[in-house]
Amino acid sequence: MPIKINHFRRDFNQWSLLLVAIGLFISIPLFSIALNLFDGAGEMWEHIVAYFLLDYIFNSVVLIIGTGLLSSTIGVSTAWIVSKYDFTGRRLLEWLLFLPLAIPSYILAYAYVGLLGNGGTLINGLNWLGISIKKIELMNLYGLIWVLSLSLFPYIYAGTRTLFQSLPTTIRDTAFLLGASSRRYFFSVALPLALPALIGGLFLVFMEVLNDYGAAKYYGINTFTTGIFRTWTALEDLPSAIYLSGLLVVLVLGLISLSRWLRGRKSYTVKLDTAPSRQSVRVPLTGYKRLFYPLIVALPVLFGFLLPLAQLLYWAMLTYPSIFRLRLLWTALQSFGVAIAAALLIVLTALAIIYCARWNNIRGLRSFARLSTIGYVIPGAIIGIGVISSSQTIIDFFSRNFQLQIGYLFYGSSIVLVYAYVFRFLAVAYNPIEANTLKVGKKLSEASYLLGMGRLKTLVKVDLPLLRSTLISALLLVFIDVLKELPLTLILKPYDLDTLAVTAYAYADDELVAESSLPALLLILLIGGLIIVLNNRKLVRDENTGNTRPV
Amino acid sequence: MKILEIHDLSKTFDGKKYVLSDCNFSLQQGRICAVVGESGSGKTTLIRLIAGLERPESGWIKINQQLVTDDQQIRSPQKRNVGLVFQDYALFPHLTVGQNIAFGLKEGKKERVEEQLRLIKMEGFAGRYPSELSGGQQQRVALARTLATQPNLLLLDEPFSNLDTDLKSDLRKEVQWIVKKLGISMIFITHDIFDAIDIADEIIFLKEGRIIRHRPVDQFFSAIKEVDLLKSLEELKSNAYRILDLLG
Repeated sequence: MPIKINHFRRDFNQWSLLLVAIGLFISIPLFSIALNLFDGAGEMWEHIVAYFLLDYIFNSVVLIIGTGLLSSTIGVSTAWIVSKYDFTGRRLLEWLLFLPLAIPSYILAYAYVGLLGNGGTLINGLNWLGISIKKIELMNLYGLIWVLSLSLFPYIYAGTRTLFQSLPTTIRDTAFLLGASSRRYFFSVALPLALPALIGGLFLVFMEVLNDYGAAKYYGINTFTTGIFRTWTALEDLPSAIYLSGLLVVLVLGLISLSRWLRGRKSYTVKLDTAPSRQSVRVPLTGYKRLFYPLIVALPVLFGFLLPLAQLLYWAMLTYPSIFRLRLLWTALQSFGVAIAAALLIVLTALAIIYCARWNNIRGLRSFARLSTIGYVIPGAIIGIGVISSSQTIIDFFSRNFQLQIGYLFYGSSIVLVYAYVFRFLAVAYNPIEANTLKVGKKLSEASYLLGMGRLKTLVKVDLPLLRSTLISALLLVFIDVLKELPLTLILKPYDLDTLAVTAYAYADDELVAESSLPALLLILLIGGLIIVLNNRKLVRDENTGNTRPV
Repeated sequence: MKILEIHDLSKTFDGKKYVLSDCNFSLQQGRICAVVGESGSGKTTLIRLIAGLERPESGWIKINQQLVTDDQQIRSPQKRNVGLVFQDYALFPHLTVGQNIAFGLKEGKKERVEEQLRLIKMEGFAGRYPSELSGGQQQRVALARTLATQPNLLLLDEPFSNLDTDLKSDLRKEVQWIVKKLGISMIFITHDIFDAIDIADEIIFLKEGRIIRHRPVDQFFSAIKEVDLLKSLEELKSNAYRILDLLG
């Protein structure tokens, strides 16, 4: 028997099988989309190409570029100022800059219409001050860029801030001794060194922009994601929706290539220094900078968190008597329940994949682990379509071959929704856990094996206790992402399940935007509380690598 | 009795470049064998293969006259009754010294832990955590933890490399005394030829994945005809002397 076959038989074990099985099972939606593409487009495809496609492409590309530029400007400038300068209130602002993430972009979009729309709160305030203005038109592409940038800049702020704070003083001192000014040091040394972190954050922003449904729909902007929804629900043409999804996947792959190309060989091997004694001492501000720099840092907090929050609170006070029902608390409880179930399952699945990949002895099969984490770069609408289409195939198969009607199992329960969450958010748990297992290394497990412990016992007695902190952090991160999720939940939720995100969206979609504030506030309260917990536990950042995945 | 037999053992990590090539040797019960060679010569890979932590491309390994590795089967590390002390000791940081030593024990844990602590002269340290110990103490705890399970064969990966010269000399004598007292066999890796001369019964010299020479210590240096080997050994010796000179 050829030696390679012998080796395969020797090295293939139950973990290899489990790894392949999990990898394939999780990737079903992706395969489903790919296979459905071969069935041809639906009957509305020509109509979509003639009247909408150019709009989808143009708007999505402009949104990506505009939001990328604005969120980078806000994220990098605030990160630089809080990392390098000292001023009153810095500590508080440094922390508050994370909080815009607590407001999902679609809720921020509603709040801005309340602030700046016709008879809006801020407009009334300006009129009262004698500034005559009727409204600021926000429900257009530029308004959407503004809203998405304010909502997403913390992704860039978090990564670049960690990097700026960890740059060793020797680098700065060397630049200054070579005659560089502060400006030149920032543009020629610090910013290029922060580029990998900036590109990493930017990539997350791009993915969130493509994933956005609620804000774009409310502002009436045709994007790929709103197009997929419209094609599927209003035009009732699933094959064409799948075609649009295929095009969006091409756009996503293009963005992945772009981010890789931009990073290129820029993963500099500068040793980041996290020892407080060797980090740059913050410089106190003088002159006009004493007012100007804190203002630059405070404005994103004001526009991205405080003002929208105030608007939501104002609306909540107005609508509280009609909206606050026991039903709302039940919705909050359901949101919480689904999110915690999904988060637990996702962390367990991530652990299973990481350890099956480690215990499997065939190197080639490890790519199945990566395959199962691809969902994070695929917008929720596509996953929703993929899950629906593959579920339908299974339902039809059982109906045709066994005369069994199992549709209610898929659409009447939350199983399909939770499965879709696993596909979408697996990477959120997988990446930090894997990074930490690599940090812990294999030697401790190997020592345990040599002391007579099996793999599962070693996992329980050695690995899990050492990963406890990472597991909790991963659980919270996924929990927050699931709570905020909208498009996937809208597509796949069973009839009797309501989440806070869906309830807030449903009110706004019915032109009851003020009424959406109470569920939105409950959502923000939950997410904001968790962000505070995470920040206090210092689990949000990985200072050693400069890789930050903010909540 | 042969405690270990290795036959035509080869290993590659990328399918192309061999880190170990056609290695053959055996070790008698109760003997101490040092594996010397430069960095990248395949020393660590060799003991990881013996421990069952790596899978070879070809060849076989017998431990205690039982086949544990060949083309068709691999006995898992926990079923080989082999102990390995890692270069960085791999003590479980979340467990105390006592819990570390008791980790692989199934019964009589308390007595065994006390016995091992006495053996390594660290009574009273059972409640401390690894982070509260010096390098030498961690080394001894790692050794005690491995010895507690009474392995047939003890493997040590660069056991003395992280220690200063005085401690190193004391500790290698201590290890030799313990191993001889318990009558177990030991293979240890070192890049310091003096470690080998001081405590080993026999020496294996590895170069670019091949065993160049395997002799008892008293015959190892006599009648060396291979120019390459002589040069490499001189380099190992002169490096060791240089380090000693630097340390005064």
